[in-house]
Amino acid sequence: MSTPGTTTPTTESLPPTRRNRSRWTDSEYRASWLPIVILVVVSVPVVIGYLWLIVSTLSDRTHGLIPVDSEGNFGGFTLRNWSFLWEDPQIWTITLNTFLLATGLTVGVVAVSSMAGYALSRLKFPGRRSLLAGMLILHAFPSVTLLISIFFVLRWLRDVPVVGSDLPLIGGIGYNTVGGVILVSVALQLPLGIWLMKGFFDGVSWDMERAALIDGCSRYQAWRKVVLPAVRPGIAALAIFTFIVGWGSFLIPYTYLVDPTNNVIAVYLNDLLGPTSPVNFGELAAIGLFQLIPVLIFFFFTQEYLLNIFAGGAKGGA
Amino acid sequence: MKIELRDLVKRFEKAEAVRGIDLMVDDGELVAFLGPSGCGKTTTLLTIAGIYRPTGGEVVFDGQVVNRLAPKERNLGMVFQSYALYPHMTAYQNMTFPLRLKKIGEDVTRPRVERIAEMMGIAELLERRPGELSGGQQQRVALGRALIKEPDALLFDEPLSNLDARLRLTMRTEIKRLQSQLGITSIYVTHDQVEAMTMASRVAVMNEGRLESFLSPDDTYDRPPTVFVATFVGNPPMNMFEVEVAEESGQFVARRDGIAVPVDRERGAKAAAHDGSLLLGVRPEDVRFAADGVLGEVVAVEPLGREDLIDVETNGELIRLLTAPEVRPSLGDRVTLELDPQTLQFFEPSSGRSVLWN
Repeated sequence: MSTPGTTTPTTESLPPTRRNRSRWTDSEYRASWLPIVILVVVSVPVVIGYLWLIVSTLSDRTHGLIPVDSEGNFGGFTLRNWSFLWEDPQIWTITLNTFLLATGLTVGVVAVSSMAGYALSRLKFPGRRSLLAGMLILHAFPSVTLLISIFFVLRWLRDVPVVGSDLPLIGGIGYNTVGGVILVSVALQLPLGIWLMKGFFDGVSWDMERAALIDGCSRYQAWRKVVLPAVRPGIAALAIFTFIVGWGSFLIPYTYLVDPTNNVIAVYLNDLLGPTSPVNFGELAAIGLFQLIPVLIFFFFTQEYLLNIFAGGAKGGA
Repeated sequence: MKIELRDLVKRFEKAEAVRGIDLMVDDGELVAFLGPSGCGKTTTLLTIAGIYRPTGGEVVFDGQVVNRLAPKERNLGMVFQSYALYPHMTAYQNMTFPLRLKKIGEDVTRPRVERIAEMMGIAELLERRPGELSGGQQQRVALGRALIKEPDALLFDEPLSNLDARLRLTMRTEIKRLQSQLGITSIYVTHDQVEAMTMASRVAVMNEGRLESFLSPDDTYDRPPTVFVATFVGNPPMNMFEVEVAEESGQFVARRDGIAVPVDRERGAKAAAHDGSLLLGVRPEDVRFAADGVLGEVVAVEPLGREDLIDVETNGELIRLLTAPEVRPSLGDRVTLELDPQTLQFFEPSSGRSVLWN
């Protein structure tokens, strides 16, 4: 390091993670079969589950993992289970609603958590401790117990002019609107989000923030330009997690969206399991898979951030 | 820029970290804050930087009280022990960050960075992120970031503590050279006395939130005004034991049972003017074997290479001395010691203040 021109990194210049990673190419690790066998045994049931899901959506019936037609012979390939995509126009309203709910929830939770988490991590103010404790309790609180009181709140909100029930896209923030469901979901999701973000902010060194202030940042700029980028993996993790929760959420939309044609996918799925008609498992599987696709895409684009969490802590300069 | 502290006090909820500090840093001077951990030196530095607001007293820049100025309004550069680089920016972006905040254009920024990077020997590393740099390189980038906005003063918070011993030595010289070349007023916080003594023109020794002394390195070492300064500065630490000083037939002598140490006239006179017992301090390098003097027994011998550190017990009192390795005694040897009468220090036991230098 005293010769600045060198490009070959010395051992000292390598961040610890990378040094550790090279250990995994050592022969003693490659030669061991036991971990692989254990991992395979553990993952096979999961893999089979997903395999069945895919196979059954494309066939009349299944015997185990083997697709069969109505006579029980091998074959029976059909797209009929996917027919809801073109035969049921509601599905697109419902998908849009689910997407709105998941996105709205994510934006709301990330925006509030990243600010509240910072405040709780860094600022001293009266009631800070009780707020932290209160949030833990709120998080442990089963949301079912709040359903009725929230109903009254949402019904009251519905009568508020304009924002209550006359907003485009999300309908409003009152009862029986997607916006209302978002509002409630955000509130219920916040304790966890804020705690998570507080933990990430706690990990940012004070020195870095002080350096930002001395370099000419205002407190807000220091948060925006230095601290927030430093917790980017945390924000990504929270966003992905929250999006998945929103995408699959059932109880809140089921309770506060009365119209089954203007609902979310999880409720739509639930309606197929109704007590009156026989259940078509092929169609159920198809909708389940349909619900899974966006989550997979979302994860595919964000996994780098998620995996970064493990490397981030050890990187120098923090 | 001149930095002045007037009766600076900083109190946190539970503890009082800084308890009234007065000092003045001259324009272009490098001053070291030296003290054990928890002595308030970093708190003082952060108060000067504007991160902490003083509980009492004043921080004065060039005659202007800046107590209420935000850090960004003070035009300071600071280097941290943890480097505190922004991990999501490259070295170049790190260094230009203060300028970009001021909306200074690339045409001004680029040549300035290149000049400073050249000076620091990091010109090849500008596109790397902090995670891809070694500790020494990161600290250079951090120093470059502090210098880029041409600050009125530089603040160093133990900048070399995270580096290995050899690198610390080179960086020490480099910072010192840069500072005197640029003539920027600097405050350097450290717990390493060698760093403080070698780099600073004056050393502020701090203990428990108070300023113990604020003198040149030589005076800090040779004329310590308190027991704390005498024992904290210097390695191995100064020998200290209680004596009574009196004039006996024209010669000043420091006595305790079994020990009689002659004292030079000037120091002896000041010491004898005090009633009661005093603490006598003598540095290990000012004690030597002699034919006549204090009798004792060798209880430990530690070879240090250039010299030996020898513990001698005399009448229940331990005296340590540094000797040339040629005269290495064995354990249990009976020896006589001579304490250089020109270098003896005397302190008042209750207050810990020197009777010679106040």
